[in-house]
Amino acid sequence: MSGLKELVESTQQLAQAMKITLKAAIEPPLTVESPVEPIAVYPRFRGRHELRRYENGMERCIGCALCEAACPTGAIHVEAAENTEEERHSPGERYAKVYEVNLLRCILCRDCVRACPTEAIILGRNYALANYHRQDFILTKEDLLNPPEPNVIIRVKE
Amino acid sequence: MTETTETFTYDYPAIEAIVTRHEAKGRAGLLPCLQEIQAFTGWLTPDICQLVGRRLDVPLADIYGVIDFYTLLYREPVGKTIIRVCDDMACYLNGSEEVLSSFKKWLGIGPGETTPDGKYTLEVHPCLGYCDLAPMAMMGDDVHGHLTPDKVADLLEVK
Amino acid sequence: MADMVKFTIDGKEVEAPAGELLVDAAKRIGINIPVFCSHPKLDPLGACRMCLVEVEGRRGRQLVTSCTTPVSEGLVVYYDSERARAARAGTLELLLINHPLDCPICDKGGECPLQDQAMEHGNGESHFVEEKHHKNKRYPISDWIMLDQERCVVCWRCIRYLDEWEDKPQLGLYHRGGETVIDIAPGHPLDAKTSGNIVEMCPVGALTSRVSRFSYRPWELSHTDSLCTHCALGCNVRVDTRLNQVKRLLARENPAVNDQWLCDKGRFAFGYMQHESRLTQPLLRKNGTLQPASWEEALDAVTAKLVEASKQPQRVAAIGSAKVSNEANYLLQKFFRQYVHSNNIDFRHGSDIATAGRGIPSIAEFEKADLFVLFGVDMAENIPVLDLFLKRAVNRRHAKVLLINSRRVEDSRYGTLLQPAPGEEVLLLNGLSAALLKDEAIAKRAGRLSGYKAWLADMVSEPTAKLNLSESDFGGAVAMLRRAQRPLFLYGEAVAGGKSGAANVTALTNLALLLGAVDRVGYLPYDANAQGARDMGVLPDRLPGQIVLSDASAVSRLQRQWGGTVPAEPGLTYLGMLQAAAQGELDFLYVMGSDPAAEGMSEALQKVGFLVVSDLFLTETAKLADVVLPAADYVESDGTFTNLERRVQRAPKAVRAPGRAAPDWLILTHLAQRWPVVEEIKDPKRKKRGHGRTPNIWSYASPQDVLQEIARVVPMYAGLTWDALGDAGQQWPAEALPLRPRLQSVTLPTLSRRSFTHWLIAERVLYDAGQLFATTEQGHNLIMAPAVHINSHDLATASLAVGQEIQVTSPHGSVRLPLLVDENVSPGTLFVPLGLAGAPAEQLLDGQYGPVPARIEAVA
Repeated sequence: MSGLKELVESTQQLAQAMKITLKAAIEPPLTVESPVEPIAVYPRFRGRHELRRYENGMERCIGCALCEAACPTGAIHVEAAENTEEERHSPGERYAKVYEVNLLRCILCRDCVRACPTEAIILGRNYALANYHRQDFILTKEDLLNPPEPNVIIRVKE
Repeated sequence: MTETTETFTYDYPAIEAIVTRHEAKGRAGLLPCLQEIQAFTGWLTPDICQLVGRRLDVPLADIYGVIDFYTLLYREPVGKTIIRVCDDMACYLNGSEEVLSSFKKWLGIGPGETTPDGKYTLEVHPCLGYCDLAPMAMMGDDVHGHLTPDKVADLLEVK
Repeated sequence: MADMVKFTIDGKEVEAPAGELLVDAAKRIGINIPVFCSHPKLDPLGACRMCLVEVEGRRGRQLVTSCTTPVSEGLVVYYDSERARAARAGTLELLLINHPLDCPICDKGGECPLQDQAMEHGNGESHFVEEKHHKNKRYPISDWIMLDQERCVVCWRCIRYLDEWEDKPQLGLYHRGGETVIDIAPGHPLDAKTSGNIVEMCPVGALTSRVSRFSYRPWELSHTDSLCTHCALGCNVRVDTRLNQVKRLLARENPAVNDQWLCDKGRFAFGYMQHESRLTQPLLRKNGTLQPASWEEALDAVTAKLVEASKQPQRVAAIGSAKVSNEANYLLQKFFRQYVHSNNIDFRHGSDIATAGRGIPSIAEFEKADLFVLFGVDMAENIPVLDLFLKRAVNRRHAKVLLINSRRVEDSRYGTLLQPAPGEEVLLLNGLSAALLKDEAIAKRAGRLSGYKAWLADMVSEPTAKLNLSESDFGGAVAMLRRAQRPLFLYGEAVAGGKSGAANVTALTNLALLLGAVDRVGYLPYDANAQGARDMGVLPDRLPGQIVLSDASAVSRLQRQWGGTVPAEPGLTYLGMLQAAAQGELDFLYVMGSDPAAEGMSEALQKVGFLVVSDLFLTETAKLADVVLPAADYVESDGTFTNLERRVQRAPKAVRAPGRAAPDWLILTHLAQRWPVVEEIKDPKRKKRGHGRTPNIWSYASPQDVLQEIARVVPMYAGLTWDALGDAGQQWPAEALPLRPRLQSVTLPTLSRRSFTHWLIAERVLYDAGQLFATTEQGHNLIMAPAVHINSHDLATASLAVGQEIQVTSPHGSVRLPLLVDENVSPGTLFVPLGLAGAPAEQLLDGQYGPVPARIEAVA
């Protein structure tokens, strides 16, 4: 009798397994064709750094280097300079002439964002940070001010 | 500051005489010396400041500091007559705002400005010590109390 | 010892000298009362009210400012009481009413007493929500300093510094109450030579340096305790660097040297250190032009030529430098003496200057002397920080000043100025000596020197008439000298150099001897290591330790140390070398950190067989060179410098040298290691020769190794080590170089104007057009424009107009210069500052200081 019992049990197990398989087969796929398709991220996702501007186009960053001081891994390098009437970058007297973020060092802890007195630096939602050369991981001020539009969907809080 | 058309011509020997009188006192003679010169010239030009500084042995920065400290000393050209309208408590409650606006209207200038003909400079001052005459104003050294817009017009002889 | 008193702070019993300020007494027991206006170097004022404490008084407990309250017996002080804490918090709140709180962009942010004290003593929140006063921000008050009136807390430190120390009160308080601001008189920017000190004293970010504005944040900087090498005082500085770049220099306190001050040149003119025109690789002349080469190539080329030239060592010469370290200078003379066998070693202002070689007695002497005799010295232009001490002595201790100078200088306002015509200084000094000898006590001290006295009396019968001096000035000067208890005699290179230098210095020494003050005669050199270069033996007739060549025991001791033999014949002096070069008598010249071509010597240098220059920049001399070696600056290598009071101080490496530039000691070590004798010594088949015959091989691994050898070789430096020098340095005693002065008659220098109408005098100024200063952009406006300074009386006589271009001609050259009326120049003389663009003065001089005859003509 044991043979029959075995057959029934194995059929049940097979049916259970097939149920999961068939269910997954008709469900839409979970994988995303990144970077072609957008990915869903949470609102407070911490991605690639961005430097923001005011509405009038002025840079928010004043080159105070507090982010550099706050950074636990020494990933940020700032060199400040003085605004002139002919060449004005930010509203006050001072602006960042050089602003670099080394993504290889950065641990995306967000301390720089918290240190910033003008809310100039933020962690954006760009997660696609892979590159072919080490030097490409150093974001210049130009890169930071003109971040690529991240291909993401922001998840709505449930 | 509006521009003054008239420039004063200075009688330097007279100024020198004033300075010489105060020279021996050194810095202690600075204030009376500046007052006397200003009574004569209307305002204290940079070369007067330099002259006084050199002769009384007071640093130039100190002289300008003293002039800036006292509102009755002037570093810039002012009108021949300075009108000082009081806007402290007593005068304010009795209508100093109207008095001031009629001065502004007739002279065509705001507080701190000088008429283009160099005749008047209008200033707003805190208490000038004539609360019994409120609202009041001083024109030069003359005190005019219980002012009204009409009286202002009379004072300025514009009617 | 002052009387000690006992008082209590917060119940703790404290002992302090009577009259000490409460704030200082508290500090000693570890209570740091917060202050803004109070400063240890300034008089107490009590302007900021930050230091309020409670004191038990007759009317109960009262709040007093601890920075103006002297301690007294039985005083009961409460620092940590509730009321005192509340008062200080309230003061801070009031100070911050109008403060813009722009700390993120403020250069002071991070090292700001206002920030620190607001965190420690403040309430954290303000009652004031109203709009703040707006005042001037970004307001330049000089080419060096930016003022931000909004940040100012009106503590007056800057005003008081300029008044109490610099004695140029150029800042003042303007307006009243909450609108009070610090400002300059309109159109009169600060021109005090030490104005930068107010930047450092400012307890907030109101005064900031324009040179390093926004270029650093204090927490990013690395600090190196070093020196300033712009003048001979050797002020102690802290070099602040970031990412291998010098960002700023701060004064470092050393009570024995600069107290806590720096002059503006020292503080701000560091732009040259990382200027783009620095040499970064060796240059080798190929086909007539200087082309980049490797160190191997360059050093091989130098060695090859030098080996060949050393067959005639008298035709080989080396010029050292008073601007580079002891180590480099020591190795330079060692290399040329030991390997090349030439004594043709000297430096600019070396053996051509008449001096006892001991600098000044000590800087501390400025706190004691009651009479300063300044002979041909313009301290405000040449040594501004030392000038501060002079001003302090005059203003606080009522010391007297006697100036003997053919030109009015800034310090003339502090005393009597005797203006002898150039060449008549000796006559004047002898006149003073003769007048002093009429005093019995002084005549007695002079002793039985009847010969000298008779000679003197004979020579100067009527000095005032001969010298065209007023009787009262001369009489006043004599009285001043006679009354002086502790005179200090100082002379500069302007009078110690040139044809009459020796006579001038002897005449001054005679005068000092009569007053029994011969050990208080001091020489003020210009350059940072003028004393060190002397001590290192960069002189044609002196070995390291200023030992004369005829001192057989010292020479043999040196030969034991070095191995080999030291040439016995004195070599050529600096001017001698250049004259020999002009005659085509030099086959090889090594110039280290010196620029004779900029002083009108290009023609002579062109005739040198092979010219090697090691320098920071492609100088005029380097342009003529066959090999140019890029040298490292003093901040780029360890080294020691000896200042004008013989204090050996160390300057450690703070940054890397640019490109492939290398320090001079290393360059010389490499040259020495290429010398053929090295091969000979290393050869195992070499016959064992007698000890001392063959020069030793050099094996220095670091400047410290060189210093170790210096400490063995130079008697005055015995026992010195890098570590022992510490932060304050070590002074060698003047007695180590004994003087045997005696009164001696002075031959009057024969200077004649011949057919010329004027005397031309040339002296250095602080802000010159040399690379060390002109490479700092912010200083550009301060550089003196080339001009010939002339008295208005002479101007009228010559019927010339101000600003007119004129032709100035001396026996040595002729240049075209604009005229500048300068009443400080006495009639009959022309003044042209040294080191200006185009080197006008140098072209007119004959290579040394001292007056030269000249005439001026209108340009047709």
